[in-house]
Amino acid sequence: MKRTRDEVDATLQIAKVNAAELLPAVHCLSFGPGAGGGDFCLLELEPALCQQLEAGHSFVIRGDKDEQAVLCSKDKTYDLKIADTSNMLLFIPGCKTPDQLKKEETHCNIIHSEIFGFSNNYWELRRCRPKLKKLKKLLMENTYEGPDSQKEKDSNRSKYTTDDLLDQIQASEDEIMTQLQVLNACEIGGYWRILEFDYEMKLLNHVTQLVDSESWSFNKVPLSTCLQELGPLEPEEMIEHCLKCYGKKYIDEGEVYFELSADKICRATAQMLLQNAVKFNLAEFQEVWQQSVPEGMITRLDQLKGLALVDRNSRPEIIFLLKVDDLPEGDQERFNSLFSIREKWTEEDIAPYIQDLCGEKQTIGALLTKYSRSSMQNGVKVYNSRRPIS
Amino acid sequence: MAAGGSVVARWPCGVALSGRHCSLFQLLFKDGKLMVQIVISSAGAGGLAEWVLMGLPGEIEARYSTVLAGNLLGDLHYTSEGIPVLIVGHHILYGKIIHLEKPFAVLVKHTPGEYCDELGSETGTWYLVTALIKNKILFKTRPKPIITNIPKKV
Repeated sequence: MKRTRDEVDATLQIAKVNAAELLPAVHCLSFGPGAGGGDFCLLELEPALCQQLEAGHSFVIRGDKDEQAVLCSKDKTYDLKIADTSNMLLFIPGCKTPDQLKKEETHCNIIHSEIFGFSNNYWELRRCRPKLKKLKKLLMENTYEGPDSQKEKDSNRSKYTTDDLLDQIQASEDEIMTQLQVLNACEIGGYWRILEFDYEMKLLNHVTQLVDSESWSFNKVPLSTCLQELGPLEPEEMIEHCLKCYGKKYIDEGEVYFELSADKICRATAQMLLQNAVKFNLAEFQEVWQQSVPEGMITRLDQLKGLALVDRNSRPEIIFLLKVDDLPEGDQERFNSLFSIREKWTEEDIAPYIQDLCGEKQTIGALLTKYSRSSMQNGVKVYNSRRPIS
Repeated sequence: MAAGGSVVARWPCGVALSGRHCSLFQLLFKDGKLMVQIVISSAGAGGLAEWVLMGLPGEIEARYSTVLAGNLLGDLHYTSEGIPVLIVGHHILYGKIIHLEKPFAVLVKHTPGEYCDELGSETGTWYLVTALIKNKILFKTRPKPIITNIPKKV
């Protein structure tokens, strides 16, 4: 039995509210059929996310039952939290704001609105770093060593499609795709594979030797000739994959060329040398390294940021492999790990190893302030742990 | 005659508490799978209604029955200046209307087995974005009781 206008007016009189001071329309609110149930919730959105929903895009919540849930749009990842409010939030369809009422042409004076539901909490989103460490871990379970490897004959070895990865990684699709590129991963037979490092170097070596024997410029390496000359040695898709990882594709007069990156090639060569021992004499390493890279490329220590660390305090000076993606993903754990490797760091040395921790609004400086203590050593500012590291 | 006579609201004042992490178990309650994806699907602007959020201090409790559905809450008026006035039971509240910097989406949960996707496999738990909320009517002040002397016959 719906409330009538007369009943509303009578109530106004009892309440001693002057109807003349009110807009003509009243909303008579009642609880709808599902109001007491709980199969709905409120999700708080930043304006950009709201626009995506209005455009018909979907979001996905991802998480292991032991992990904290994240919400992913196509290109970003957000921590999902439940925020409690101690007031009740009612959601009301068909309820108009005063502005909307004033704009209306026909003025009805009674609107019956059914409350769809109510809640005392809502889902709150905070942009976060995608959790990508697991991606490398999964793909390293079964690295690709070439089509003739025994591994490829074993169907029990783990392999992951894009969908498999979306199921397992707490990150948006775009963030996963970007990371796959960073890892030089290759889609082979529908599965994403990381190349075993030696195999990747073998491919690169074929390419650089061909460039040398053909006397090409590193800036203009023709794809078709590479495939023709190297095709008998390795699958064409792998040759092309190598060129894409270590160069940039472009088209000139209808032909496809690659501009090879000296930085990437020098860096990979260094990794190849450094992984064979715990540490190297810096001077010796630099000499061997320069000799090992293709003729015409110049090696520089800054090409090795996040890959190797130089110790200028030891005698002789040394260099050793330290890969940022082998370090823990969490902020505190990362700093603990770095401080257990070296007690005091300069900002220049530590920056490549914490750069990936910087969120949307966090800088290297902010991270250092939060997780370390600074002091002066020989006129240089150094950072060490806030608490003793065992 | 009082509006919404079957509902009583209790009125402690409150402050929003923030951020307990949301574990997937809380969302799914039953799903034992190792890693899940829960889709939040939107019908797009054409299919999304715009609702309003109303914040009331306290809790809502049905006075005469344990089922809320069908019960009246109260009358919502606006003054000519746009101030919301809510008459609930024997209380009158004055509030304000806020345009939300961060809108809300109302998600309705759908459970496994309810639908099949194009491939004919059962969908897991998913949420449908049913409406967007860009405005909030907030009643924060302690309500004023309405004192009735003479019952008026309607």
